Order: sequence, then C-alpha cells, then structure tokens
Amino acid sequence: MHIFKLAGRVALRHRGLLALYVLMMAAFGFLMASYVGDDTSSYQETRPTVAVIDRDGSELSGALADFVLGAGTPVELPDTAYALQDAAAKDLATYVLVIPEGYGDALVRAAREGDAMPILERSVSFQGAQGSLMDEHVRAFAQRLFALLECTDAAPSEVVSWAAEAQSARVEVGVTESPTTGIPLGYLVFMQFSTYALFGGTAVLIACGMRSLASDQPVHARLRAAGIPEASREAQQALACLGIGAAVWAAMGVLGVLWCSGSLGGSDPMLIALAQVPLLALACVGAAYGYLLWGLGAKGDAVHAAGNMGSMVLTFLGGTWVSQASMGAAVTAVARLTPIWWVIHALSEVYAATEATGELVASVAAQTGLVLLFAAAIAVAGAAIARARARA
Amino acid sequence: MSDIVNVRGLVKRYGEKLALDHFDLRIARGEIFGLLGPNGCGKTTAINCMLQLLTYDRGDIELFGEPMMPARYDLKRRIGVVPQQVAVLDELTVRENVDAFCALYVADSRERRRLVDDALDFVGLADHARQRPRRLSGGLLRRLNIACGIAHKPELLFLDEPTVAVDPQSRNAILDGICRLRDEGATVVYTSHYMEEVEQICERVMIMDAGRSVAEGTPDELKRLIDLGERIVVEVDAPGESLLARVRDLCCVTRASYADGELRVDCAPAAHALLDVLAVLEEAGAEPGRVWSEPPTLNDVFLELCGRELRD
Repeated sequence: MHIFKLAGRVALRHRGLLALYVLMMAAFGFLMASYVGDDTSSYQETRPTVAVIDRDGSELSGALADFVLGAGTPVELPDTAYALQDAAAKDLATYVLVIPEGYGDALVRAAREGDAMPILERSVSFQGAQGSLMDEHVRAFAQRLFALLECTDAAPSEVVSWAAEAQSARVEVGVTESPTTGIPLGYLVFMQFSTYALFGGTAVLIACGMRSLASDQPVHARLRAAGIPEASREAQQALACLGIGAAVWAAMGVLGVLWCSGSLGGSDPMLIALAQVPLLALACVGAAYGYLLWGLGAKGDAVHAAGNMGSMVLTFLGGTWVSQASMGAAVTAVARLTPIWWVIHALSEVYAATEATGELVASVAAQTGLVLLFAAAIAVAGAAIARARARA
Repeated sequence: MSDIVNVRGLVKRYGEKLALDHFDLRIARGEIFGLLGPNGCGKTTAINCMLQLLTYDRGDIELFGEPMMPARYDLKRRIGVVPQQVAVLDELTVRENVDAFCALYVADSRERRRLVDDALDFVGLADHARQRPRRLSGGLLRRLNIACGIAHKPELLFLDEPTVAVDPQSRNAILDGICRLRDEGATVVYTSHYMEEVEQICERVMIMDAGRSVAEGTPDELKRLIDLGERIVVEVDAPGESLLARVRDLCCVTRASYADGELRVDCAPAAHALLDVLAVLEEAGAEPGRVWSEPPTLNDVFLELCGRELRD
C-alpha cells in the first residue's frame, strides 16, 4: 500500500487547500447556521422608515398619509426637489409617498366618471423588499378608497372612515409550535453548506494535491519503472482518492459537531450519525470527480474552476442557496438527476424524524446507495481516462 | 564478462517517424556505458523501451540475461532510473523523497532507513535532509534526483543526462559518485551531451544518430575511427595566405586555419608535425608565442560522425 500512503501524504501536504476548502467552508457553514439559529419561540415585526409629502391637503390625501405614517416609522423630509433626490440617493427612507396637488378631487372624479385612478408618486428603497411591500399596501388602500367612491355616492369623509374601519380589522399574528425535529435546524444548515467542501473541496484537493503523481509528470515515469504492478498502482491511487474524500468528510463531521455542540445537546446521536452517511457518499462523489479531473490532467486554475463551479451548481440544485421549494419544475427535474438531490432528501428525512427507526435507516441507505452509484460511474470514467492518458 | 543488457533489432516508430532503427546494444556487467548522440537521436527512447515505459514495434530486450517484459517486476526491482527531468515530489522533504522512491523497491522500513542514509551521504545531501526540494539549488536538486534513483542499490542504473544545468563542482561530485557506484558493483548506462564527461567516466561508448548506432567502442577506439590526429595550436601574429598555404602543403597536415590570434593545424592520425610547422614559421620570420598540441577528443569524433550542422 505504499502508493496509497504516498498519494494521501502528498495530497494532504497541501495545507493551504485544506485550510481554504475544509476549514473556511466549515466556518462559513457555521456562520450560516448561526444566522439561521434554532430559536422559533418569538418574532419581532420590522417597520419600514416612511415619509409622506402631502401637496393636496384633502381628506383623501390625509387618509393616505395617515395610513403610511401609521404603518412605518416616520421620517421628516422637506418638500424640495433636492431633499427628495437626496433621500432617494442616500436611502434616508424605505418608502417616500408624494401625493400631488388635486389628488383627492381627481380620485373622486375618476371614480364617479369611470376613469382610471390618478397616479401617486413614490420612491422605494433599493435595499430590501420592505419598501416594495409598503408600496403594495398603499396601492391596496388607495384602491379601496377608489372602489368605495365608485360604488357609493358617499362624501370623501365617510369613505375615509369606512376605509379606516376596514383597515382596523387585522389578522392576528402569533407563533405556532413547529413539530419536533431529530436534529436542530442550524445543524441541518451546516450540513447543507458542508456539501460544498465535501464535493468541490475533495475534488480540488485530489486533482491539485496529487498533481505531482499525474501521468504527465516526471515522477510518474519513476513510479512506472518501479517493480509495482500497474493494476496495483492504479488501484492504490484510486483508493487514495477515496481516503482523501473520507478525510475531508471526517474533518467536516468533527468540526460540525464541535461548532454546533451547543444546539446538538438534546439530539439523538443515532440521528446525527445517520445524517453523516449520505454526506460520506457525497464525499465519495467528490473523490470520484477529483479522480476524473486528475486523470484528465487538469491543473491549477482549471481544477479550481471545475471544483468550485461543480460545487456551486450542485449546492444550488441541492437547495443550499435557494430553497428547493422555490425552484421551478424544470430545475427540480434536473436536480433529481444529480447526487445532491438524494443527499439533501436523505438529510431532510433525518431532520424531520424524531428517532432512528428501521424504516428511516432503510430509506437513508437506499438514497446513499443511489449517491454511491454516481460516484462509481464517475470513478470508472476517471480510471479509463487516467489509463488511456498514461499509455498515450 | 556476461552481458547485463542485450538489445537486438529494436524498432520503435512514433507514427511515421522512425525513432529506433534496428538498434542493437550490449552492455557488460560492471561497466559504465556511455550513450551519445544529438538531440532526438533516440537515446531516451531506447532507455524507455528497455525500461518497458514505451512499447516498441519489433526487437528483443534482455536484461540480466532474461527477456524483459512489462510485467517483469522482478527485473524492474533490480534497476534504478535517474530521468532527464528532475523527478521529485515538492511536497516532501529531501529525506522523505528518497525514502518514498526507495520504498517502491524496499519494503522493510529499518533496511530502508539505512539505505536512505547511505544515499544521502553518497550524494552529499545529509545536511539538507529536512529541506523541501524547492529550497535546493539546481545542483543539489540534481543530486537529489540521483539519490532517489540509487537508494535501493540497483544492479543496473540508467542515468539520462544527470548533469544538465549543473555547476562544475556539483558535476564533478556527480561523476565521482557514478564511478563509486560502478566500483560498488553497479552497471551504469549513461547518456550525456557533455563529451568530456563521457570520456572521463565511460569504459565504452556508443554514438547514436537517427535511431541507430553509428559507432561503438572505447573512447580511444572511437578516436581511431576518424581521420584526425593531433591539433597543433600556435599563438602568432596573422600569417599571410602564402604562409598558410605552405603549412597546408606539409605532408602530414590535413587542415590549417587562423583565427583569434591562433594558428590551428590539424594533422593526420599518428603523424607528428610540430617541428615541421615551427620550421615553416621560422623560415617565414614569424615569431611564435605559446605553442601546444591537443590530441583528438570525443567531441571531434562526435562531430565527425554526426555532422556539424545544427539539429532541431
């Protein structure tokens, strides 16, 4: 097993790659896990900062102004072109409503004569979605005023009071208890982010780390000239790739448990261990991908690009960056054809479970098996390419 | 002495290009054999075929008296290789490198430790054992390259241009080391572009060109193959064309030319024309400065046999 040890030793000497792809990715996962947190017992409503310039002064414009100021935290803005531009440029308010002169009369006239609603001027913050949401609320309130004026002959003051009354009927917001999960949400997030390192990190570590043993390198001639059978040498190199994948997986596992130990306190160790199984299979896929890149003779920037782009695509399809529920049917269909889909699916099952039942273990094992099939297919391609290049 | 290498009718083609053309080679046990030739003449191809790193189209290769095949790992374990390019691992230290390549041949770690120590002492790298290769100078790196190939004490050692880009001190150390390997019982196949090195250490030499042997023998035998004797060099003021013609007319002179303040006179083999040349110069009133005579070198043989034109 000399070649196995040599290849592993040479690859793991690339400490910069280890720090970058294992430690930093683990730290990133930990940060994201901390950001998500596990506390779901309370919530705090956020209020946008708002400003209203009422140039009309009618009852209807006053109602709109009251509505906006009541829904957010008011900010004083003088009614000058400079102040409005400054507010927009410096993002001084999340939402600025400008009610033009004559708006109230125009709204009544349009409703009664069947014309279109007059336009309100507004400025929405470019940061976050709170301004846009506020704008939707204001449009809805103005629409309500318009509809009441259109359907009745009531005076604007009456319409304003009806609208205010309707507005006061609010939906109660509270916190509901989420179902108990086998592992904390934060740890699930950490594991989702660890898939980046398990796939891309492993691949880069193999393709870059074992580069000096590749078939186009001078050392390769020395290895071939030695008295070690070719099949044994190739098998040991492939095994070394698996060993590197396992090392990255073990490092991520240990770091994850250490860093998330606070939230993992009450979790079933069996479930935590079970969650590692599909991740190990994914590390095998990363190892196979790295073996393929190594066999292709990819080097330097090409390896980093291939590793990172592969990881980005896979983690995206796995729902690390955007929830899988938000993806279109076409993206989901593509995701099903990748190993990450089955890994995340298995992790989600472990997350949702309360104990490690036989059924759960069987399901996770089946999905892990599927992931290993991907690894085997890529490894076979890598072995064929490595052999062909070595003999060329 | 029995042959340790016996190659018969070796043919190797790269597509349309004939790299080895019915190449024959016999090397006796315990000798340092020099393989000379211009770039692309087939030296490295021949070595790679003998090591079974390359397939070949035709021919027989016997090493240690037995047919050499790709799966003859028992024979491969008795061979050492020092490739033309430095083939070491930058990730490992000097000592780890030698140990790693020695371990390809020797499994026992205690035995290996002793062999690695010997190899490091042999190439004078014991003081650099804990350094990474990238911290070594070019000469030390070449020595490490050699240590990696010899640590397992091979019976047959292929050295492919081991002194390229090496300073004179390191080169001398390497050449002394190769002679010591021979003294310890190894057979060495040595390729180089440096004729003086080959002349210095090789008992027998083969000159290759276009994939085949054009001459083989001891350095003295090869020198006798060409129509060239000693070269007389005289430091003298520029002689006239008539004086040069009189020197050329001397019966044993094959060529005479003047350049850089030196009159160079090539003589026929076994002829001694020094006194005649000096007499002609004296008659013409020339006043010679330093005068010396150079015997023909392997370089002259090489240029005579392989031509003086530039190669690709």
